Amino acid sequence: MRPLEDELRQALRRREPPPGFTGRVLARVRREADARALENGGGRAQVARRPLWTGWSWFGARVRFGFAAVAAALLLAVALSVWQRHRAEQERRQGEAARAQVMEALRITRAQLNHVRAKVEAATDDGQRERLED
Amino acid sequence: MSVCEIEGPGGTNRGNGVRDGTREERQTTLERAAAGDTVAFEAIVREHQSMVFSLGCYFLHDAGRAEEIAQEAFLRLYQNLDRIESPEHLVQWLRQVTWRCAIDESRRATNKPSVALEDVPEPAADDPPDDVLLKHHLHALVASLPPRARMMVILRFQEDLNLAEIAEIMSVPVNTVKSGLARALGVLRNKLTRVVGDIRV
Repeated sequence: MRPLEDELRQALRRREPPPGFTGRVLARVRREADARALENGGGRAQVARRPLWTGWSWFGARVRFGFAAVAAALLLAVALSVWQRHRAEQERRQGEAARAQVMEALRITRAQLNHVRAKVEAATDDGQRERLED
Repeated sequence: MSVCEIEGPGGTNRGNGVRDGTREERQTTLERAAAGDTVAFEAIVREHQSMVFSLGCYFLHDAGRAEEIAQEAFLRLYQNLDRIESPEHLVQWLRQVTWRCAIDESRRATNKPSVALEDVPEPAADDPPDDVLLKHHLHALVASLPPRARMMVILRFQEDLNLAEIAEIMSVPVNTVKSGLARALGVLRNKLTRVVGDIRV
C-alpha cells in the first residue's frame, strides 16, 4: 500500500462536472445578467456590471425615482381625501346621535310635565268643590 | 444530478490550475470576458470547472450540491470579472470563493446528501477493486473531518497547494494550516488503519 499522502492524492483527483454543466452555468449567468439589466432600465447583459451612477443607468434610476415620488404623492393625496371623508361621516353620525338623545330627553320631560299638570289640575278642582259645598 | 465523473484524459490540474494555452492567451481571454465576451467567459468556465466542482464535491460529499456551489462561484466570477487582474489571480479567487460558498452551503444544509459521493458511479476502470474500496473509504473519512480541516486536506491533496497558499485562500495563519493538516492526517491515518489495515507514513 502507498503512503497515505499518495492515497489521498489519488482519491482526491479532480473530477469533471456532469455533462451540460457549462451550459447550465452560462444559462444562469445570462438569467442573472438579464434580470440586472431589467433592474437597471434595460440594455444588454454587460450593463449589469456597469455602476448604477454612470450613463443611462443613472438616468433610468432618476426617472424611476421621479415616477416613484409622483406615485407616492398621489397615493398620499387619495389617502388624505379618504380619511377626511371618513372623519366627516363620523362627525355627522355623532351629531345625529346627539340630536336623537336631546329629542328623547325633551319627549320624556314633556311627558313628565303633562303628568304633573294633570295632578295639579285635579287637586285644584277638588279644592274648589269643597269650598262650594261649605 | 446523478453523475460525478472522475477526471478526464487531460490528467490532473494542480498548482496554478491552468491547463490550456499560453499565459498571454489566458490573459487575453480574461480581458475579453471582462469586456462582456460570453465566448471568452465560457472558455474560462470550461478551463476551471473541474477544479471548482471537485472542491465542492469532496467538501460536501454530494455531487448535486457541489454543482450548485460551482454554479454560484462562476456566477460571482462573472459579476466580478473586472476585478480579476491575471489568470493566476483568477484561480486563487475561484478557490477562495468556492471555499466560502462551500462553507456557507455546509452550514445551511444539515440534511442527508441528495447524491452521496459513494453512491455515484465512477468510471475508474483502471483501478483494482481494493483501490476503489480504499478510495471510497478515504472520501468518507475526508468528509467526516471538521469543515476547516476538510478543506485544508482537499486543497493540499487535490490542488497540491503549499501551506502558505492554503492559508491565503482560507484567510488563516500558516501555522493554523500546518497544525490543522497534521491533526487531520493523524485522524485520517488512525481511522483508515482501523478500516483497511496498515498505512505507511
